[in-house]
Amino acid sequence: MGKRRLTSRAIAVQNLRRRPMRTLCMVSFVALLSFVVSGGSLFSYSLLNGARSMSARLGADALIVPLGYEKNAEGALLRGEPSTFYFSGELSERLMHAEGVVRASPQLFIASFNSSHCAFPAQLIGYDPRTDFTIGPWLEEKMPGGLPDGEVVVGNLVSRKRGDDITFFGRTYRVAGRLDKTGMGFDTSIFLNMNTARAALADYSQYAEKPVTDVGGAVSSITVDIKDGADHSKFARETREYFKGDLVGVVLTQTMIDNISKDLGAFLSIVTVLMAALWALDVGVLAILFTVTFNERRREFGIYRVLGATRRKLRWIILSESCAVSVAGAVAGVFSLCFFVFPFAPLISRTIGTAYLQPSPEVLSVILLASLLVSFVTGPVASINSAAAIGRMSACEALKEV
Amino acid sequence: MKDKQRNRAIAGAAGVILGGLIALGPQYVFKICEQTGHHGGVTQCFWTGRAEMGVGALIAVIGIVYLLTKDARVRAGLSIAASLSGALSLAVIDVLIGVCGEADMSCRLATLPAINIVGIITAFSAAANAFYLLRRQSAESGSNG
Amino acid sequence: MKMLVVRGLCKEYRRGGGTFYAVRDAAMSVGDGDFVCISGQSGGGKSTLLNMIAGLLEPTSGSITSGGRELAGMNDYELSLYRNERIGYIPQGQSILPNLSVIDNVLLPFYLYKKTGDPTGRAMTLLDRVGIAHLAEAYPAHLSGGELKRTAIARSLINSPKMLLADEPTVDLDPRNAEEVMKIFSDISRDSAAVILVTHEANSARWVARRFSMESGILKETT
Repeated sequence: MGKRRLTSRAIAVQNLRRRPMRTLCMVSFVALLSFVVSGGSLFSYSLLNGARSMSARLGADALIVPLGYEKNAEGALLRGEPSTFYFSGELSERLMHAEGVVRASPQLFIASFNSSHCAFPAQLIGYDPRTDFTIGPWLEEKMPGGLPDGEVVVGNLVSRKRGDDITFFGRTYRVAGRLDKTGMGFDTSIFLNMNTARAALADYSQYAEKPVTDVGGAVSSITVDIKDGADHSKFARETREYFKGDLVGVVLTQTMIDNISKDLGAFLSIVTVLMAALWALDVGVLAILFTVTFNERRREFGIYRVLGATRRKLRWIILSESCAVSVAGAVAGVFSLCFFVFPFAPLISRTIGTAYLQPSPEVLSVILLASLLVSFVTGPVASINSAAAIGRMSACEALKEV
Repeated sequence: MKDKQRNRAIAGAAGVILGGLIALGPQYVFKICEQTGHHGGVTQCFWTGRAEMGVGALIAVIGIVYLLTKDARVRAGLSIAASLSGALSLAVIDVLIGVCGEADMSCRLATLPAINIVGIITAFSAAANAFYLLRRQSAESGSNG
Repeated sequence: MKMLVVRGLCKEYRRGGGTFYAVRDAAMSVGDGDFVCISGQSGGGKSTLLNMIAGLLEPTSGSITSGGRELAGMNDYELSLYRNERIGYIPQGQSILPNLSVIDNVLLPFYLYKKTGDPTGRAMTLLDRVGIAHLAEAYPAHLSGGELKRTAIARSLINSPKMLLADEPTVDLDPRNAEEVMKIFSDISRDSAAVILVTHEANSARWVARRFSMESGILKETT
């Protein structure tokens, strides 16, 4: 027979193994807490990260779009929902010089078809490299020389890599690069310079139900920066009023971001309060469970005292049991999150409908580690009272139990 | 004896449930895409769904046979078969056939992760059950001399 | 030096407004290898006396000296260590821990304090000595009363105590098992440990070298 060492930890593990249902119940409580804390933290961080990404990527103060297409524009930006809308080149020129506009740049939004002419349904976004101040600088990071005609840059979730070909409206383009993840609709979008986008619009027009009348000048949206200090809502109101006959709509991107951030702030507060409440509840329930089970086992602890165990030894055995329960539960909870929830992250991101960007592996590790720690302390905190009570038992009291 | 009956019930039922999920999940729960893709041809995930129906049905049948089998060695063999079938379900969706390419297709968002999870659970739990049965068998035959 | 010297030991309880003496002016001395039996009717104070000797109960007055050391001056830690290292104590009734196997129960006293060495071999030897080596990996739920008592005896010997105290060790046992347990105690005392038994069963007395009786708290040597 090999050497056996009956440390406090070994005794604790044996005690837990011999009562599998009770142990499973306590481990499950901690696992549930661990799952919720790690999942809630990750979810919250991903939403914050998405909001930060959106704020960085959108850049402009406002988007001027055809009236009635404001939601389409938001859908394309936030969720990558493909859409085609445009106003004429003449109107776009007037809009770019409207009152209050400091700088402006046109963009072209074209939705590819769900047919054999196109690789897959996607949002094509054309930008003007000379004037663009939102997408352009970001693309410059990836393509220092600029994007050549006939080539495209794809979003992070598009299944093409640099050098691949991709077909839209019967025309093949070369993939020049792939962007980093943004957590927004850009991840499933295709970016083209304005020349390439115009050619794509012409191709689109051939297959569309309603051909495009002004292929050379049509513009889907104008991204604008407004004078510093100006009231954005007033700008939107006045622009709509001034161009009322031309059916123009204004999307205040900063307002969109602020609204999302405000909702996010409220949501995060609720999540934090709920997690704290769940932790307190868990500690309470575990404390009751520990108290009940350790009271049932007073005779057993009496025997330890009779055999010469010190009070300290008894406390160590009890704390070892609660730590073992906590470790098992904390790890089980985090593991469950990683195994059952992580694979569905893209689905969650899509279902939420707002910017959602999972953190980098380093930040993710920190979040999971912090969740493990928070869950781990539950057991020892819950058992402190019981450990103290059992530890106070004198040999005389112990004798009565035996 | 009670332990053996419990093992038959739990492992057998698990086989039926996991096999059912692999077979029917892609059709009704974590659905694959339409049969015809936008290119006019049949989608990859359609064939995957068909193949997983076969693999899942096999695992479910193994589960039923397991419920009815008393001999521990035979049950260990059935567990090994179920484990390998679980691995096959993973191979079908990840390597052999696969799913549609684009990130926002429902087969990639839902079917792929779901089958991966259920397949891994099947492969590992069945392998662990086989190991447990064989170990208990050798312990019992050791103590019987 | 005597293994155990008890002088003028008293244990007083307050009961129903009055005072009751469970043990009154007890005196005894026990040397190495002595096999002592304290018998008498239930409620005579035998277990109370044994528990005071084991350091589990604090006397009202009197002294207990073991191995030249007075128990009265010891704190809780010292008394616990004394119980663990100097004496082997077999409580009345069932005292085997249900969550540990037989061999782990036997090993437990060794591991309650930091010690070097591997006691597993000694534990197996002790289990063999009491005739249950084949049950080393079994759990208490599967053992009979006699087997549990033998486990308790083996456990009490793991730290090679100088003195073994047993409170009613044969009360739950059939005559055959009781006989075997008394034989084991007799063998232990021959190995130079002092053995003190408390029992109300008359037929245990024939195994021992010295007999005491205890009635109404008063201890008298009868041999």
